[in-house]
Amino acid sequence: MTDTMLLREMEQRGIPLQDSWLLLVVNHLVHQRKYARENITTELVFPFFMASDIRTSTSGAGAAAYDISSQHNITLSNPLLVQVVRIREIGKSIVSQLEYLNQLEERKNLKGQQIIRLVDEEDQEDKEGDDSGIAEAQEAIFDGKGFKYMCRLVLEDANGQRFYGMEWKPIPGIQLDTDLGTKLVIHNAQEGRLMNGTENTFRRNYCKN
Amino acid sequence: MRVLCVAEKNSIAKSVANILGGGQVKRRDTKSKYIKNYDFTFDFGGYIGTAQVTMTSVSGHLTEASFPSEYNSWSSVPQDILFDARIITSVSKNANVLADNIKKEARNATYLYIWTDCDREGEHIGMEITNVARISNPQIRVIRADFNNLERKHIIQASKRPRELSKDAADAVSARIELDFRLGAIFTRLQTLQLQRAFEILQSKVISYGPCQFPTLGFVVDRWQRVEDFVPENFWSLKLVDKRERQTVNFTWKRNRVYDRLAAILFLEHCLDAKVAKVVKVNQKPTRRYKPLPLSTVELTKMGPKFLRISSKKTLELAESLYTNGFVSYPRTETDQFDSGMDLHGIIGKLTPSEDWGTFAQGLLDGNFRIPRKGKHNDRAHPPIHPISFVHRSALQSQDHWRVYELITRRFLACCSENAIGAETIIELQMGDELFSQKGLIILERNYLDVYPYDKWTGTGQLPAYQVGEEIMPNMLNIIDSVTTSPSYLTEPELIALMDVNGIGTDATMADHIEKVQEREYVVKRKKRGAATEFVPSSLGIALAKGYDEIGLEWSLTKPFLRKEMEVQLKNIETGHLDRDALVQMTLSQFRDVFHLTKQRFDCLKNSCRLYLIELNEG
Repeated sequence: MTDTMLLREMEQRGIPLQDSWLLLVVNHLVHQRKYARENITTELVFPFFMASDIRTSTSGAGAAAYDISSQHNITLSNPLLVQVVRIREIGKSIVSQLEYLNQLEERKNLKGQQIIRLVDEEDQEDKEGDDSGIAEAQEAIFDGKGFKYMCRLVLEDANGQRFYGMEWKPIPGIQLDTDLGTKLVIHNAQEGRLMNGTENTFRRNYCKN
Repeated sequence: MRVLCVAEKNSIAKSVANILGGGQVKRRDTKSKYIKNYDFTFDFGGYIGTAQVTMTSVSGHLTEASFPSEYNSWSSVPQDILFDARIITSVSKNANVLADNIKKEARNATYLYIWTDCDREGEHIGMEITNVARISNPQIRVIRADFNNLERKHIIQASKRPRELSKDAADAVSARIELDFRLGAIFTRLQTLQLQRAFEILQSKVISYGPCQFPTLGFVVDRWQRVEDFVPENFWSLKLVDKRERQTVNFTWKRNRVYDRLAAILFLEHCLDAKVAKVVKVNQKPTRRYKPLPLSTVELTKMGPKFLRISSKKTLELAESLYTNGFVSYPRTETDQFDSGMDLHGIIGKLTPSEDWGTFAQGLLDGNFRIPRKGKHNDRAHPPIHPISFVHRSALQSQDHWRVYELITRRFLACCSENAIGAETIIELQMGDELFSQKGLIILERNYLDVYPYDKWTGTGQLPAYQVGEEIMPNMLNIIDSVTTSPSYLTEPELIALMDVNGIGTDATMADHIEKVQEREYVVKRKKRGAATEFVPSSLGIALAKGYDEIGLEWSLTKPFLRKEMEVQLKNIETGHLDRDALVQMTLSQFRDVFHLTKQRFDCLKNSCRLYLIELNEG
């Protein structure tokens, strides 16, 4: 494929690559990996894009406008390309999350064996108000379902603008151990109201899938 | 023909003798003031026929294990020698008079009829009695009674259907005794000597180790650590309130809570944008609260502390006392399902004279009887714990005896009743994209709850009428902020439940292990709010648990896995699937590695003791 074709195909996927960055990748593939230039496809370029910082690899075409903060109650018509900068589980307490990770680590060290720390009794009156997370973590490990409820993310577009994103409903692949730098293409992003704090002005956006 | 019958305790011997002797029993003293010999005539039928019978008893185990005297010195004998040292099994000093009595009475007997409790320990005690009897009469033939309560008809039937002693069950106990003795001695000597030398504060203390004690301590320390590490966190939830038909209905947010205030505000704003809430679901359905399962020992030892404020050990002792007096069935059982052939109506019939539950019992006989639920456990030796006869409150030794009897009886009657029946209404509202719900419960028939006050099922009353599709303007929609609550320390019922599910101890021994860790001052029992109690580890307990965890053993001594595996293998010996000596060798080999690594890294334990016994206390 030619560079132009590669650019177009990636753009159709919502990924507006920068020419210069693409050229670097293609040259690397040709010279270091010994691919013929005409045999380079988007599948070969994709891993490089996934590992890149979109501020250097993509153009502003996939980013939000610079005046986005002054626009209210609008839905962005173009797909928004962002990368995950921070991720936090906000549906479970930090204590619960740590409990889960500790139990998971323990299970790995004990070669699959698990210490049962809480027994599910029919009469749970005494257990009300216990926010230790022991029961949730234990159940999650037994069920093998993972420990996810709702994540709040900090997302960054190609222009370096940052947004908060929050899962309205669980999105497969978004969880606490999602790699930072993971790329998301968001469609129909809705801009929320601006909130002013006493010291900072920050943008609060939310993304609905 | 002479038959010598031997029970596990004098009270059982007396009860069985009175039943079989038909009231024509002559009592003789022995050299022990607690043990008597009871003489009578009885027709056993079958190959024994009519015989002159002497019924006597022992007082638990006759024998004890010890090392030869050359291993007595803790300081000069290296501990690892004890892995292979010979063990001497001999009659304990306290049991000498009992053994002499058995030898004397066995001399002229044709049959030795074992009447010890029908559990693993009872089989082993039966073997001990056999070994003693054969000293004076090597030709004596040994048979064993299979019984689980002291009801007259049952005892007479049991006496006419003897079986063999189970060598496999006795072997399982023998393996357990050897392992507990050896490992207890080895690790107790190791840690006592090392820690006494290192810390003045421990100079006069024996720091014992037990393969069940340490995992029990481990559970207490584990929970303590979680309480210590707990940090409260703010959370937010949405509350929606509607008022109609003069009722205030609080709806619960389906997301329950979020740990981010911004998120909560966003959700609230979304709801407010929607302005009205729509009723999306109104479900009315019958519901039930299940009656309890038949009562096993583990369940009894949990209920004692929880509902009667009596320790698990004491609860079991009281139940045993009730058993030896013929009021309840054998209280050491894993079984939580009644055999289909069991005459439950007959037992219920005996309970009708009671002022407390007689009417309820009569109701069961008149048509309200329901087949009990079946649990998952059956030890094939004993039925679930149940009453055998009715006894009046005033006929029992103490108020605590009555309370345990009452619990067992009410549980039994509840098992034979109908489940409680209710009607549940679930209403779901949608506001924006957010869902809120509320449940209403009306109890239509209390059924088993009328005889079983240990279970609570509270109705909320009838909810006002809502129609699907109806739009409502909530009376209030707000964010509630709150803080997470710390876990609490382990209570006794919780600790028993953990020991049970993690395979530590048996139903018969769990209460003993809990007492032991308190005796050793590794764990302290203290009052919490109300009259309930909780367990916290002492500084020494924490130091030991943390120290062993630091050593980095594949399976720390304070974790349940080693013991759990041993208990599984002991069961395999009992069922004849594993050789006794093979398990002992396998386990000792495992623990030899543990011992060497522990000795090598003992500084971890010393550091832990330094931290928890000295530094933190000074701080």
